[in-house]
Order: sequence, then structure tokens, then C-alpha cells
Amino acid sequence: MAEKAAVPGAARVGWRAVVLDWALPIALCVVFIAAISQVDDRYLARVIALVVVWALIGMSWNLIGGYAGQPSLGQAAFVGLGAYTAILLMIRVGLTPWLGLVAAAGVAIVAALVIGIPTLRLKGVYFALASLVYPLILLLVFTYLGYQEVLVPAHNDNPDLYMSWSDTWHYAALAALFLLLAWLFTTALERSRWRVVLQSIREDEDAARSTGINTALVKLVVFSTSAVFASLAGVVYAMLILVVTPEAVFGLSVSVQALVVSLVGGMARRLGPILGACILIPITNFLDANLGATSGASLLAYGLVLITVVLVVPRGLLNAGTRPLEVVNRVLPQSLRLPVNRRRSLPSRPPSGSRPLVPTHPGDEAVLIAADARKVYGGIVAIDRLSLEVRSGEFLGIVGPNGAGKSTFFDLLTGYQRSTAGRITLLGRVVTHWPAYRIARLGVRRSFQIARPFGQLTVFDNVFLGSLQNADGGQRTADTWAALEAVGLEVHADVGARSLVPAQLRLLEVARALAGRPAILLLDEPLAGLTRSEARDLMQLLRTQQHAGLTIVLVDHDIGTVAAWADRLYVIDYGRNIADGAPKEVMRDDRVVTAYLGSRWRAARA
Amino acid sequence: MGLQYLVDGLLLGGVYALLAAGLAMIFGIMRVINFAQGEFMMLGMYAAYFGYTVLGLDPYLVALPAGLMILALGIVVATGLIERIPRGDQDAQLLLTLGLSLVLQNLAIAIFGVTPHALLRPYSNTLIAVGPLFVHESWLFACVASLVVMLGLYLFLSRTWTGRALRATADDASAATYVGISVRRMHSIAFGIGVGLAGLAGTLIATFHAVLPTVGQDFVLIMFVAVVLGGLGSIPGAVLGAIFVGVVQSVSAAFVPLQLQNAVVFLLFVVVLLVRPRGLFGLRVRV
Amino acid sequence: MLLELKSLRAGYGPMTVLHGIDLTVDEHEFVAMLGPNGAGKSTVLRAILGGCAIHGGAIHWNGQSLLGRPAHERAPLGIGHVPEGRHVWPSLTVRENLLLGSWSLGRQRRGDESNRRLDYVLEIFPLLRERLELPAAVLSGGEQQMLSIGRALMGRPRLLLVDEPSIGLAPIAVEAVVDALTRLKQSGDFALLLVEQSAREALELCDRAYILNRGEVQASGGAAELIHSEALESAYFGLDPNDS
Repeated sequence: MAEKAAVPGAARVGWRAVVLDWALPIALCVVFIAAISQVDDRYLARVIALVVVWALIGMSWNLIGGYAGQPSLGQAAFVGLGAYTAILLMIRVGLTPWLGLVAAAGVAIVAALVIGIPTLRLKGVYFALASLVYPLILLLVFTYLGYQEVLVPAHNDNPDLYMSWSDTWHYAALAALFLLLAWLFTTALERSRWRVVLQSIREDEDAARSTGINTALVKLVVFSTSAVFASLAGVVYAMLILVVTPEAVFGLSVSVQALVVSLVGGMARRLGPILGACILIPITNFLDANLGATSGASLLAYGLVLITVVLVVPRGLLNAGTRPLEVVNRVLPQSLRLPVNRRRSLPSRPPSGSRPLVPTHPGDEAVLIAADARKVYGGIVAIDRLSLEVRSGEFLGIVGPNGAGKSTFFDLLTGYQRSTAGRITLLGRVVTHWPAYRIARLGVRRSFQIARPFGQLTVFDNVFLGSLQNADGGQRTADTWAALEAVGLEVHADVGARSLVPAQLRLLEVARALAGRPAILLLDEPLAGLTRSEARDLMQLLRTQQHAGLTIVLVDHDIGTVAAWADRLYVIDYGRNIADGAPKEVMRDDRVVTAYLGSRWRAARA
Repeated sequence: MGLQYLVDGLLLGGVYALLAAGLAMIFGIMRVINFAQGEFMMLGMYAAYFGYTVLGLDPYLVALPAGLMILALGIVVATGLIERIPRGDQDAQLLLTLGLSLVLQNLAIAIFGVTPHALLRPYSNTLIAVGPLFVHESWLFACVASLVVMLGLYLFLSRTWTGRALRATADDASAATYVGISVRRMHSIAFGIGVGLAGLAGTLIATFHAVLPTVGQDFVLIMFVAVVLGGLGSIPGAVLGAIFVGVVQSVSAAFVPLQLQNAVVFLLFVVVLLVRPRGLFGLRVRV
Repeated sequence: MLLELKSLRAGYGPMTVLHGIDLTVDEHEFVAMLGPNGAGKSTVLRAILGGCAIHGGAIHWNGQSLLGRPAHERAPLGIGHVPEGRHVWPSLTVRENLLLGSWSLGRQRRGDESNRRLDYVLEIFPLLRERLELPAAVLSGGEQQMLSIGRALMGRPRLLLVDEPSIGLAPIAVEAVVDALTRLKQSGDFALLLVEQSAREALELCDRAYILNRGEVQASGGAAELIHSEALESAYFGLDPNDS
């Protein structure tokens, strides 16, 4: 138990959870296969097989659309490629569909990389629109190539080798096995650190990058996995329906069904697509059977369901009310209660006195050097040749009035924007064109002007994300606790981040940064929205970290408060450095007073 | 030969422009990508078809009343459905209009059946010879009608109070609120006009294109391409984008097989999204 | 009293920015709000305009509560707004920008009155007359500021809320804006609540001022007194006695 507790960001895994996560699904799958083999009614068996296939397609969509939060409208591309790969190999070279599954998965991965690498850069609806087009292009190409109607060749001589079963339940069983695989894979995701990583990407990609996560790579991996499951489903689907047409596998309705079954059941929930498929597929099949497949009745139903869900239960049935396990728990006696994800218990806290978070620094070297940094937007100079050196262990305040270019400069230093010219060196490495996540991994962490917590995650998981890149195993948990203690949030560790008050959100961001054992901490207007005493507490906390060896760069317009705590002030106005030095002197500087109060202020009082 | 493709493309593009202008108007003002735009066009096509077969009216007589009826329907849909979603939740809005598209399309299947209908008028298949070129009479008429409607749209947007308020809302909605413009009302009006334009375009397209319930799907993608090319939300951009798409579609016929003509347009769409999501013409994006 | 805020607490979402603000503006009175960034000045304006969440307290307009009234129904009451950053409609012409300013007069009245108001505004800002048919996007920062003020005047406001009119403007443009506001004060048919960074200019223009800091009123009084008190400099540069 104690060992398991160190599983990063995950639950204390008791025996009940092991049963629930691994043994129960396998057992249910076996029971399901046994049960379906007894079904004699061909129509019923076919409906069940379709439910399982669509649950699988929905589950594959749920990986990219639900868990990774990329609303794809193009899942059909992979379903169709899977189906056509297996069938065409079967027809052309007589390859058994069992190997066809492998080939389909390979094709799906290649396609996912080709589609994903450029397309996943797009955000939100732009990604949705682009993803929509790929299956439609494939549809036209396959039609053009003459594959309007491809029949699965019958192999009654060896049905097992060629999946030419006459009993439909075989297909349901095969699909159920893949569904089990997808389920276990998703479970593994939910039980590992990938759960928090994916949640962070889905909520706020920029903030995820600030913890050192290579969000592009993570999305691509999930996209490819999702494609593999979709292609496997495509193969089974093709074998089941016997006649493959481009419209049946690449059509928009395939992508829509993949999305709708997940959406109805519950986005980013394992049970979601299964529930959605169980509800929708029998209904639409009934409609098709009674009104004819061309009546449009089933797609009409999908449309109505989609509208209703979006308006009434936007995140799906499972996310709408009580969790099913909680319902079950109500009737179970206390001792048999099952663990429910939402209230997962936290990894245990190591005894204090573990290694300190902030590395001790060798002497007085320059850890951050900006040389002639410049940023121009469409002809407007936002940052004009700023040069700055920050020494190890220093507490530097970058100040200036509104619109002076502080935040732009800050983004250049942290890799969130690229400088037009100049050079930025951090910890001895030239990082001018590095992406933000690499700078974060180097040991340079930032906070955001408007706090960007991952609201759906607990406070612990938020901070845990910060520790992912710079430690491993149990050390991550230890670093997380140490960071929480450093800011005093340890008592709120198991609370959802969305329920924190603004001052606590600031502390959460600082803790998230500290958990990555940074050498340099950059804070973007951390004082905004804090009361005077909250601001003081935060500055006190930062000073403690500074004394432990952390280099701090703080950007704010509140020159008064910053001056009281920083070693040095660096004042920016209109993108230029107008003063640099000890706080007391800087505040007497005429140019600084003018920048803040206007040119005539001093004149009037002289 | 090449010139012939260009002329065809320009004429088609002129008709697409009306569809794209409607979509761009909706996106520019509401920031909603209306997936159901093609279905509103389809409704216009059926209006023209039944106007002719049942009432014996020429599609050009049906165009305006049909457009206005679809406009009214659009206002109801926007007020009753789209505006109920929190503003800015683009994913949910996209899903909602996707659902709407499915409902309209399949209701049409249920009511009208899947058989394509042709609306044959004397000008439907007539070619006019102009020097070495041939001009489809129906395309020419539709293109001219489309230009007339767009002139009307231009006058509405630039000369009337409501038109100016719509443009102001697209430019800067918060500033519109400061002078007392109800952004919610402008959204509903914009959606109504946007789909009304699609419906009107549908009546014109019905004179040379088969009328069937699923016709919207192909056209909505063409509209997306045009609007993205034009820099999402800019109406002049969308018009240019539509003409460009018409030309690309027509000229590509010289190089790729007929069945792949749309694939070229789709490919163009993806490439533009990936390379220049702000559109090709450098018009200001109001996103 | 034209406008009265009573221990107003407001912010964004769950975050509270204003921790109990008391502030009044009388008819024809020019009032300034000063203080460092993040003090909550713009939030006060947003609260009056219906653009942020009210967590407590009251806002009274002519003795009637403004709370719960949709944002777009506030302009017709006579509340004009010149937002920070101008927010003119860039693709509309100067004339269109101005005409739409009289939208709040209502369908019946705006027809004739808008042209009378247009003449009035062009008298105050003659520079705009030459630019009437140009899109607002091509105007300089100073001209856009005048357009933004002009647009607000088109709606016949009884109270004009002006947010950081000089920010990002060249000194000569700032002067022009200040001059225009001074002239408007003499014509005297509306009250003004001004948020401004250049403290000297603001205090010279206004009758009274409030100094805000961290969401509270730190000092208030007649403009002439505040110019010579330490209150303002301590709000910007003052070290908290408890600090360090």
C-alpha cells in the first residue's frame, strides 16, 4: 500500500480499485462474450455487435476529443482507412484480416502523424474544421479509385482465418475484446500521471506548457492511439457489414456518430461512449429497420440528440449528475463501499526535512541575460532593445506604467513570444528561439498575470504537474508536498482548484512553479487583485525562497510595493529601459515620476 | 479553353459569394461557425422547386419571399437555440449547428424523400455563345441576381441604422453596448440575414443544380473554404474567397478528374487553415 | 445626486476588486478618480456600466438602483462612456461612428436629433469634420480619442465616464483632449467621471477627486487641496509602513 501510494498523482490503490479497474472489466468482457454466444436471434446479435463497434469508435474519439480536448470531426478518416486497408489486402493479396488488423493499425498511425503534425497546432473550432475535411477528401479519392462498393469476399472454407463467420456474435465478441483493450488503456491513462497531463492540456494549453509539458507531442501521441483504436473498429465494422462503401466508413455521419455517442454518455469518461452507444445504436437501428436506412430517421435522431445534449447536459449524461459508483455505494454497507475517482485520496506526505526545493547556487553569476531584445508587431515597436542581466540569487523588480511593454518582455524571457531580434541567455544556454516548455524544463518557471489554475484538478494535482519534468517517481510526490508547504496550501491539497479564492490561486501558481525546482522564478503581476496584507504575505514568502537560493524576477506596475522588497528595480516605459538601480534612487528619478504621474506633475510641485 | 474555365469559375463564384457572405456575416458578428448554412440553402432550393411545380412561379419570383421566410426562421433559431449557449463557447455552438444541420437535412429526407429533383426552366440548359466562349444562361442569371442581392446587402449595411449597428457589433461588441445597442438582438438579426442569404442563394442555385436534401453538405464546405480564405468574418473577404473557390473548382477540371474536383477545394481549405488561418487577402480579421 | 455608489463591492467572477467604494457625482460636476494601476478605477466604471459582477453594496442613478439592469439599457438613461483604448469601430467611417452614438436616443428621436448632435460635436472637434468619410481605423490616436468622446456626446449624456483618455497619446494630443474637455466643462450640460494617469491634468480639470488604492478609497476631496497633499504620491510610491 505504502509503495503504491507513490504512484504519481493517482489514488492510493487499494484492492477494491484493482478489482474495479482491471479484474472487473475482464470478467465482464468474458461474461459478455459467453452471453452473446447464446444469442440465436440474428437481428439481435447484429444490433449488439453494432453497439460494441460504435462504443469502440466512440471510445477512440473520446481519447482525442474528450481526454485531450481536441474536438475532432474527422474520426471517420481512421475508421475508413482501417476498413479499406483490411479489405483491400484481403482481396488483393489474400491476407487474413487478422494481419489486416495489424496493417490497419500501421496505416492509422501513419495517417495520424501526417494529419496530426500540422493539424493539431490549430486550436478549438479551427482544429474541428480542419479535421472534418480529411475523411471527406479520402471519401472522394476512394470513390475515384473505384472502390464505391467493395464486397468482403466470403471464405466459407476457413471462416476463423478470414473472419467469415456466419454467426454474428463472433464479430461482437471480437469488437468486445478491442473494447476491453481500449477500456484498459483508458484506465491506465486515468491511473497514471497522464490523467493530470491531459486534463491540463484540455483546460489550458499555455499554462500546461509553463510546467514543461510538450503539449504538441502529448496530443500527437493521444491522437495516434485514438486512430489505432478507430482503425481496429473499422476492420471489425467492415467484416460485419460485408459491403464497404466510402460513404459508410468515411462519411460525415461516421464522424458525427463517434462524437455523439461520447458526448451523450459523457466526455472524458470511460463509461461515456459505452453508455452512449447502448442508448443510441439500438434506437437508430430500430428506426433504420422499420423506416428504412434511407429514411434519414436515424440521423434525424442524432441531430435532435446532439441539440438536446448541447443545450441540456453539455458534458454528457455521466457528467450531469451523480456518478454511477456513488449510486451503487448508497446501497452498499460502509465496509464494501467502492472507491470513487472524484474523491481519490492523496499520496501520503513524506516526513518533512526532505531535500530543499531550491538548488543552492554557485556564487554571483549572471543567470538571465537579455541582450538587445526587441519585439515588433506589425511595425509597432513594443520592446526596443532591452538589455538586462540578472544575477544568481537576486530579487529583481521590473516595473513600469500600464502598456509599457513589461508583459511582452516577460513573454520573450519565458518563450511565450519570439523576439524579433536580440539574444536571451538563461542559465548559460542561449534560449532565444526555444519553445516555452523547454525553457520551463531548463528550470525557469513562470506565473501568469491572471492566475491560470487547472480548475478541474485538485490543488495537489495542480502542483504535481509542476514537478513532473524535474523529478521522477516518489520524488515528484515529495517535491509537490514541499512546494505546497512552502506556500502554506498543504491543508487545501485535496480541494478542487476552482474553489480557491484569488489570493490562494496566486499561491497555487507559485507552488506549481516551485515544484519544478526552478533556478529562476518569473512572476507576471503577482500582486494584481491582492489586498495589501495578502500582497505582503506573498512578498514575504518570495523573500524566504530567495534566501534559500532562488532567483526571482517580478513584473508589476505597483512600484511602491515592489520597491519595498526587491533588491533592484528595472523600469520600462514605452518599451525602453528608463531607470535601473536601487529602489530608493529609482523612485526619485525624474523620468520614473514622469512616467507614472505625467510630465507636469513635478513642475507644479517644485 | 482556359478562358472558358475562368469564365465558368467566375460565374459560379459569383453565386457562391452570396452563400459565403451569409456565413461570414454570421461568423463576423456572432463568432459562430454555422454548420447548418448549407441546409438553409437547401430549404431555399426546395422553396424554388415547389414554387415552380405547385404554384407555377419562376424561381426568380420565389427568391425574395423565400429568403425572407428563411430569414424569419433563422431569427427564431438564433433566439431559441444558439443564443442560449454561453457566448464564446465555440465548441458547443459548432456542435449545436451541426445538430441543426442533421435535423434539417434529415427532416427534408423524411418529408421530400431522397430522390433528386430537377427544376427545368427554359434557361436551365441554354448556352449563349460569346465569341469563342459559351456562357451558361442559368449561371449568368444567378450570378447577376447574386450581385444585385449583394448590392442590396451593401446598401443595407452601410445606409440603415440597423445595418450600421450590425457592423459596429462585429467591429467591437462592447463599444456597441456602450451606446445602447443590444448585442443579443444584433446576433439574432445577423443569423437571420445570414441564413436568409443562403436560402435566397438556394433558389438561384436550384435553376441549375439538382434539388436534394443532402445538397447542403457539399456546399457548406465550399462556403467554409471561401470564408476561411477571406479571413473568417470579413464579408468582402468571403466574396473574394468565393469567387476564388469558384475559379479553382472550375479550372481544376482541366487537371484533375471530375470526381476529385471537390477534393482540390477541400485540400485548399486545409492548406489555408494550416498556413494562413487569417485568410489569403490580408483583410483585417475580427476574431 | 446624479450618481451614488454605496459601499460597492465588485469584481470579476469570484474575484473581488472593489472592497467597499463610496463615491458620488452630482449634476454638472467633474470628478476625477486617481490611483495606481490595479487600484480598481476602471472596475468602478465597469460597475456603473454593468460590465462586472456586483458582490455587494448599491449603485443609484437619480435615486434608482442600477443593479440588474442590462448593460445596453444604461446608455439610454444618459450614461455615456469613453472607454480606455478608445474602442472606436475601425471599419466604420467617422460619420457612422458618430451617428451610432445617438442610437440610445431611440428609434423615434435619433432621426432628426442625430444630425443636430452631429453638428454640435463637429463644432467641438472641428478636426473630425475633415475626416467624416474616412474609416476610423486610419485616424491617429488623438483623433480616435476625440471621435470616442464625440460618439459618447452624441447620446446626450447626463454623465460621461471617461477612462484614461491620454493613455498612449503623444503629448500634443493629450493637450488637445484636455482642452476639449475643459471647453466642454464650460458649456456645462453634463457631469463627468474621469479616470486619468496624468494626475496634474486631471486635478486641474476636475472639481473633486477620489484617490483609490487596492480597491478602496484612500483619500478624497477638492481637487485644489489634493494637488498639494501627499496623498497621491504616497498612493503611487508610498512604502507601506508595515513593509520591510
